[in-house]
Amino acid sequence: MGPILYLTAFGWGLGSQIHTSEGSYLNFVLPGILSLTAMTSAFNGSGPSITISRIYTKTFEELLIAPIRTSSIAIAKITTGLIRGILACISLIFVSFFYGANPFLWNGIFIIHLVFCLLIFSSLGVVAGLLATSHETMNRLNSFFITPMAFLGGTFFNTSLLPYPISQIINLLPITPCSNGLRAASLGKPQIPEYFIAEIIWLTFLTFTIIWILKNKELTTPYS
Amino acid sequence: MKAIRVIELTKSYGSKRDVIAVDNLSFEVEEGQVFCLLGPNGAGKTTTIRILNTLLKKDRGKIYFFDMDLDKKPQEIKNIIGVVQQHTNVDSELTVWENLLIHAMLHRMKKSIFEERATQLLTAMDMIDKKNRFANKLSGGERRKLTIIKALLHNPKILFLDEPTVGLDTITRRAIWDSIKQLRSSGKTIILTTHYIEEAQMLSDLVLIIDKGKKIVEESPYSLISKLGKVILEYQENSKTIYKFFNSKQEAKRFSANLKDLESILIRETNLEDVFIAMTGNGGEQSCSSLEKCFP
Repeated sequence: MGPILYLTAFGWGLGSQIHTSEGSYLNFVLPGILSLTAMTSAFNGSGPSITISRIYTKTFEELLIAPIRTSSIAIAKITTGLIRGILACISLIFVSFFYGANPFLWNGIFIIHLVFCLLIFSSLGVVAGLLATSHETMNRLNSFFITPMAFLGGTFFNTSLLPYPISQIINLLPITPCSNGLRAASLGKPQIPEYFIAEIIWLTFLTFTIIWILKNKELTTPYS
Repeated sequence: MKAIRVIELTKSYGSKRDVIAVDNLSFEVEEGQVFCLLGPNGAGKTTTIRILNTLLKKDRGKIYFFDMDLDKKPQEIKNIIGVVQQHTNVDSELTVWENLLIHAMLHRMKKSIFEERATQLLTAMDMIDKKNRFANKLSGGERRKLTIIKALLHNPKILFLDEPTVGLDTITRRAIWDSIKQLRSSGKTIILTTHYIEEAQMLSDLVLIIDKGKKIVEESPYSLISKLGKVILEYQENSKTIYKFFNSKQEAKRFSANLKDLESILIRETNLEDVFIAMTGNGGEQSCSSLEKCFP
């Protein structure tokens, strides 16, 4: 629901009054809202369910005791976030057509960026879910990390408009290359390899982090 | 054959590793044996069990299951163990059958084998009529039975039961005792932790009493009772209950003849609880912390 409200407010309402060098603001903001949707749905699709199963229902222990590989657990949990994210993004793209969005969104580069974005944030959700000590930890992470990224990471405006040191810091956030890459693909602009490189670095880092956590960290409480 | 060998197991917690939960603990469990870990709260029973079933990492020591090193072959070992946790970790939003199906999938069971075994276990545990019921609609005892069925589904050689009857009513507890007895007669090796000493006395072949992570004594319940004295005399002295152990009722009666307050005297058979209190009584007169100290 949140992304549709953003689409209505920023795309339809505010967007009808603003024209950018790339055309309508709706077409500019839609890739940003899509990366925001991918981020929140993939993160919340994987992270909180792991926290709940680890700390509250203790069903995560079933996976740890079962004779399955650590990498299988990692792939399964990342896939959960990926699928939930895909469903949310497909819904948003479908709705965006009714708002008069550019139908050229569905090109291959666009889809690759979207899948990278979903994988990155699903993996981030898995890391958070595995390390969180309570449900409140997840809420704090959402408040102080995910929500600021949703607004600052190239979603609603071009990050180059920010002062130099701040824009450089924001470019390091995982959502920024996703937003910029999706936008470049949807507006038919040339792709900058740095977007892909940044996405691959984030994804690789998070994947190895998950495997390291599953192999080395104690994911259960000492006295349960 | 040794089903489990634990050698100098050590585990500590805290940022400085200063809370020692398991301290240089060694023990062996024979195949087909019911082995009980007894100890007061915080003794290290659950930590030991959770290290054995790979949920916690040890600081030091070696663990072997049928001569397989847990450090080297964790996947193989996970295939031969079943675990009933202290808490009932069933998925509330799934039915009994679906909970079992997920467990079967995690253990790569064939569909036909799963269906046969699940039906067999549900019938044996008197749960077959509840197989389509959601887990959140089950009573505490039924949820506990479901966790036991789950642990047995893949036919493990070794079963860990971490306080399997905690919080259950007497009838359900006795039903679960019957199930454990059946498992024992079927040749399963069972590692049991419990707070109910009566349970340990009735079910176990061997009892390991631990306190503060350290082994205090490892004997059969009968042997522990015999060594301590088959008869116990309880009496009051300065508002404290004193326990004295004797080898016969005659000995106890002779001793009690010299006592003043005859109304508070009780002579009865020693049970495992008396042994447990004598071993872990934490400084009382009856505490001896080891058999050697009890019988110098």
